[in-house]
Amino acid sequence: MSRFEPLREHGRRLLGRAGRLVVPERPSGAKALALASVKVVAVVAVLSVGLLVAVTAAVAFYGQYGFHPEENARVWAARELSYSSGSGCQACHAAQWNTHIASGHAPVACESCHGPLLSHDVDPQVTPVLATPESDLCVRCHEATAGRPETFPQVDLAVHYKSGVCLGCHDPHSTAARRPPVVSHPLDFLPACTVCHNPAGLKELPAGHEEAEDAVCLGCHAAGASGLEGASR
Amino acid sequence: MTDTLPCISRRSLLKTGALALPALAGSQVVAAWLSAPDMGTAIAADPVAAPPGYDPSLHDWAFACDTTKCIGCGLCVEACKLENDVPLDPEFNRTWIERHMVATDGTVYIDSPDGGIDGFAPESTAEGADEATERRTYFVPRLCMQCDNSPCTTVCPVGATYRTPDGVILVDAERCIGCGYCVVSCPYGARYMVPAGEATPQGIAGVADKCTWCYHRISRGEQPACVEVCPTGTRVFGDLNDPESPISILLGEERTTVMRPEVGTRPQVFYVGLESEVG
Repeated sequence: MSRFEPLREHGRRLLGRAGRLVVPERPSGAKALALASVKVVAVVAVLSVGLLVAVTAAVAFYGQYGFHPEENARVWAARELSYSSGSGCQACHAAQWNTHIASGHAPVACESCHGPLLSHDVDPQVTPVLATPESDLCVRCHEATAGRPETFPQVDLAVHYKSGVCLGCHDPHSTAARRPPVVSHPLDFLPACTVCHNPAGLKELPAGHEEAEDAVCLGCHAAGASGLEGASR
Repeated sequence: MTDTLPCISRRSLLKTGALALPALAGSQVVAAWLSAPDMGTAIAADPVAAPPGYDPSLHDWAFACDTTKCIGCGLCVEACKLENDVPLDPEFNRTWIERHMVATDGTVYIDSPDGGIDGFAPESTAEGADEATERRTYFVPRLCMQCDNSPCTTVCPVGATYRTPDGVILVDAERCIGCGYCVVSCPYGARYMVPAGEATPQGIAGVADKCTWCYHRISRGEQPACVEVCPTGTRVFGDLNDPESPISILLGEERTTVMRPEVGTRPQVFYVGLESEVG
C-alpha cells in the first residue's frame, strides 16, 4: 500500500465512481420546510436564552465589582460625629443655657464658640476643645469688617478698648456688658485721663489696662453725673 | 488507518458553544445568588450600618445660603474640617467663604484667606482692591451644589461618584481611581484630591473628595456641621419633602437664585442676595 492510498480512498469516497462530486439528495417539499423552520426557531431560542442569561450574569458580576451606591452611602452615613446638636448641654449647664436662650446670642449654637462637644457630651470627663472663648473668637465675629451687614454689631478695635479681655466687660452668654465703674469725679476742665491715671500719676491704671485716648476710656467708663460730659451722656 | 478523522465540525462547535455559554453564565448567576447575602439581614447585621430606619427615598435635601446675613467668621469652614477629617491645609476645602468686593466699574475683587477659616481682615486683601472704588462688599459661602444635573457624576469613568436618592452626591473611595476628571469638570471648584496626610475623610489619599452635606449627620436627623455652628442663620438646610423644614420655609419666603445657572447643572444650593457676577 502506497503512502498515498488512504488519501486516494478518501477522494474516491468523495467523488464516487463516476469521478464527480456526489451531492446527497435533500428532502424536499413541505416536510423539509417544516424541518428547516424548526431548526431556525430552535437556534434563535437557544441564542436568546443565552443572551438573556449572559446579560444577567454580567449585571451580577458588575454589581460585585462595580457600581453599588447603596452600600457606600451606608458607609458614609455610618461616620462618627464630632459635633453634637448641643441639645444635651442644658442638662448640666442649666444656668448658662437659660441665660443664653434669652439673650441676643440665642441663635448662636453652643458649639459655635465651644467647639465640637459630642465626646464631652458622651463622657463629661473629656474636656471640650475650647472651654473658654478667647478674645480672638469674639473679634472673629464682632470686629468691624468690610462685607458684614451694617445691622450686625461690630466694634472698631482702633477705638473700642482692646486688651484681649472682652470677657472683662462682656458676658458671652447674655451678651450684656458689665459696665466698669463710672467716673466719679467731674471731667470738665481736666486734662486727658492718662495725665493723672498713669503709673507715676495720681492713680495707677488697673491691671490689664493700657494707655488710651479719652474716648476709649469713656467708651467703657461712663462719666459721672456730676460732670457736663456725664450729663450729656 | 481509520476512515474518519478526529475533528469537530464547525456546526457542532457552534452548537456546543451556544449551549455551553448560557450554561456557564447561568451557573455564575446561581453562584452569585447563593453567595449574595440577603439584603435585609445584611443591613441589620452590618456593624457600620448607621441610622437604622433611615430611608433615603423619603427625603429631598436642599441647602440655602443667605449672603445678606453672612459675617465671614469662618466657623463653618472650621467645623467642616473638624467634623469630616478634611485636611487642615488651606488648599483643601469642602466649604469656604469668599468676600466679594464689587467696584463701581463692575470689577469683582475676591479674597478668601485660607478659605476664611480664621475669619477676614477688616478690608479686602484681594490684589488691587485697595485702589478700587467700592460699590458694595459681601460674603459668599461656597460648597458643593449637589447638582441635579451633575457634571462630576457624568464624567466619572468608573462610577465612583454617584447621587443618592435623597439628593446628595457622594464619592466611593474604594472605587475612585484618582483620575481627577470630576475635579476639573465641576463648574464650582467644589472638589479636591485628598493629599496624603493625617486627615483623610475616607482614610484613603489620592481620591476625590467633596462636601457630603454631612451625610452621617443628616441621615441621623442632625444638621450639617456648618449649619449647626453658623451663628447668623446664613446657612439653612432641610428636607424639601417637609413643608415645615427651614429650607421649605426659606424658599417660600425669599426670592433665591442659584450659582451659575447658565451652565445648566440645576444646583440644589440656593442663594439669597447673590449677584450675577458671582460664580
